[in-house]
Amino acid sequence: MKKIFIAILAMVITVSVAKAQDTPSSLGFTPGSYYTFSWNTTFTMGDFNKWVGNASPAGFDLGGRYFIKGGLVAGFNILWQRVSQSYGYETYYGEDGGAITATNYRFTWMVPFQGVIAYHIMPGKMVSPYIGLGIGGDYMEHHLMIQEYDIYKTRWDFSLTPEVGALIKFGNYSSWGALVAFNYKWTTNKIEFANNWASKNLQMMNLKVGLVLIVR
Amino acid sequence: MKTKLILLLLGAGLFLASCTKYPPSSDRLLEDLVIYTKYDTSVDLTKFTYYYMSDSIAVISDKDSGMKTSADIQALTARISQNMTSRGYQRTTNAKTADLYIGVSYIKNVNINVYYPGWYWGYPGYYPPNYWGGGGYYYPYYPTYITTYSTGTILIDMMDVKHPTTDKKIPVRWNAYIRGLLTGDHTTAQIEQCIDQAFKQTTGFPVQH
Repeated sequence: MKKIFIAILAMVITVSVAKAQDTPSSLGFTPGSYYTFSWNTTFTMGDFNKWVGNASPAGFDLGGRYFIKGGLVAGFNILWQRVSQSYGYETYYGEDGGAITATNYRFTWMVPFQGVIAYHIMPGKMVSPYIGLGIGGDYMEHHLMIQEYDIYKTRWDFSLTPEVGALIKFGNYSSWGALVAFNYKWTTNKIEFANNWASKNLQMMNLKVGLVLIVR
Repeated sequence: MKTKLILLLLGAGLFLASCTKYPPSSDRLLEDLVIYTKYDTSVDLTKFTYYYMSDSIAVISDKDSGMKTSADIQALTARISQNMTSRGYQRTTNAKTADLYIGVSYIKNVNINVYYPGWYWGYPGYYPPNYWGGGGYYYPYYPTYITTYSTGTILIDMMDVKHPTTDKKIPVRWNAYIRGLLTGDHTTAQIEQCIDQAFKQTTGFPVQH
């Protein structure tokens, strides 16, 4: 799975670089800030992957970045994500003598919000790779749906998200561009359901592909 | 301009799809077989010895409710009996010497929106007449509750007939609700497996031998 997305990322960057080589490689203006609107695909890892194994394309990210000095930027990200999967017959044991066996459906709905600091290696170029780090928190709802029963827990957490990516501008004077980014996310979030689930430090990887609005 | 509009619409669609908290119900396999059990954790279920259970069960139907039996029902009651015996309980044919009375009912073709435990107790034949003293039953715990009721559902109540309350109500110490079991879609082996599972998932029962 990881290899596939590294390959996709490499392909997108390669195509973008090739396209950029056909046109002048530098922007006709100095960007002051940019805003991103990205489609986010989530790949759960570790214990989180045992909870929901499927990759999920249900995610949308809004971000803003402001150039501070040279290629250094600071900004924010807010995201909506959902991962979900159906499972076969499993028994859930409650804390009060109850138990239920049925097909069940698990999902986690997340609203992460982070402050971000990043460094653009070539901020004035058509293709501008960057590395960054997001620090913030998440609101998560973990739902275990057993037929009509919806058993859920809500959690707030602290999270760290190192990220690599690239801005690919559509033209020398265009205010629009594309964003491709890949990140790893570590959180203090956990999933606990009576005697059935106990996992902590949920982790995931995210692939973001989206549009960028560049402001001079 | 057209490209930007398409991109904006695409973005808006993705945004709306991703912000929805609940996935579509079609993904969730609703109305599938469900085995739900609950027991009174304040009582030691290993302390009981004798139980009484009729070979016929209360069939609850829009047209022909009453105590009935069939090959499926016989397989069902035999499996309940087998599970009880393997956990050390002894069946008695004299209801008055029993510690526990097991009442089994089968919702044949009644559809209601909300299941209120115990509503079927009023159906004819659910328990032997003139035996309980007229006090009725109650659950000492919050019982099985399901918001959708399907046909083919089996309900099993295990009543502690030796310890009625002062107002003569009989406490139900264990109950099981198996939705969609007797719809005609399941084999006898599957019916037996579901009964086994109902006992297996009740951690308060004595260890199986």
